[in-house]
Amino acid sequence: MSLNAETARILKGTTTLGLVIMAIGLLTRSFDFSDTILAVGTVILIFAPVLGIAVSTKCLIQEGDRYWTRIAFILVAIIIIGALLSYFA
Amino acid sequence: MDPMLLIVLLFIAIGAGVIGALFGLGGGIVFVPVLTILFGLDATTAAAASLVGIVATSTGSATGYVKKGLTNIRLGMLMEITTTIGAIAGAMIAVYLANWVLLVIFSIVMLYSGFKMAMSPERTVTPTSEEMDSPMTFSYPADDGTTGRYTVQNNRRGMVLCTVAGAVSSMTGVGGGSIKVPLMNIYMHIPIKVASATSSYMIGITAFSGAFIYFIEGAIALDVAAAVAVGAYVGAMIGTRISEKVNAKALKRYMSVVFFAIAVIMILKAGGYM
Repeated sequence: MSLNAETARILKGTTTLGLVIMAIGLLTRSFDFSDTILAVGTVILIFAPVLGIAVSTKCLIQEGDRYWTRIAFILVAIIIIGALLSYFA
Repeated sequence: MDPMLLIVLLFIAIGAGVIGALFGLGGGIVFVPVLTILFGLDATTAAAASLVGIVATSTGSATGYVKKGLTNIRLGMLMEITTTIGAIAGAMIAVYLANWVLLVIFSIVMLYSGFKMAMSPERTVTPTSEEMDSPMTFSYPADDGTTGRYTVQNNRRGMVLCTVAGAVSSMTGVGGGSIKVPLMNIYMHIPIKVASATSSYMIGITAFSGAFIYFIEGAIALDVAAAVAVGAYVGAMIGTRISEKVNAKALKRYMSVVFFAIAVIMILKAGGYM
């Protein structure tokens, strides 16, 4: 599959999944476990763009596009460093 | 938050999603004033919830553009390198900034966005024969069904400005589309249609960095964020359909007046007059 088609597919799937879980969390607001459901939905939703980058990177590797694969790896590295910094800071 | 207030917020978020889709914005420019002025949340909590909503609207609306090939994923990833650095720095700084400082920064962004929306500049450059083999020359599906080509100019300056856009985005909870689209068109000569689509894709990645830090810090009010995200996504889907039927250019000019008015309200709030 092409870079754009595969990236679009993962973005749509992950966003929809995250939003559905968040909606369930809102509907079960009177129960104790609601916050856990909302947290899971929030994490899935906010990670959707990162999964999109991961799939794009995989496609670029498969296409043998070395220049843009390097760029993708730099971006992935910066995102990981940023996440680690915020986790341990 | 009270369940009735969450329902009200859900409907307001639908409205914000419609506005965001109509004007090519992430929606944060509406979420933040609504959450701070109407719901009385502090600027940090409002920005955190807004960023989650922005991920929902931008990623949702970007999907269609990515599929059609309008989004330049390669360029988006390149520009996201500096935007993400700016977003991480911005979110880390925002936690320690006073509420009024964030409100003033937000007001400045609103004034800038209103000005840009009123002016609506567009600039594109066709590549020369030498530039055709450059990794910075791209193609896109043009309106008339043909394949348009363009070469990205001033990459370095554009990337530096993206750092600022990323920092402002995560500090204020605004997606940054109102900054990135004019930047990509004016400085980098990317066709406005591609710039809007690529910006939409980038907004989600920028918002991730900010939203993740707020999540780790425990600054996200989960129920508020969920109401904003679900409502905004539904609104974005409605807005995308409406945008095919209305004259967005005329609406943009009216919207700039609203942006100026919100900026004034936020400045008054920052100064303690409201």
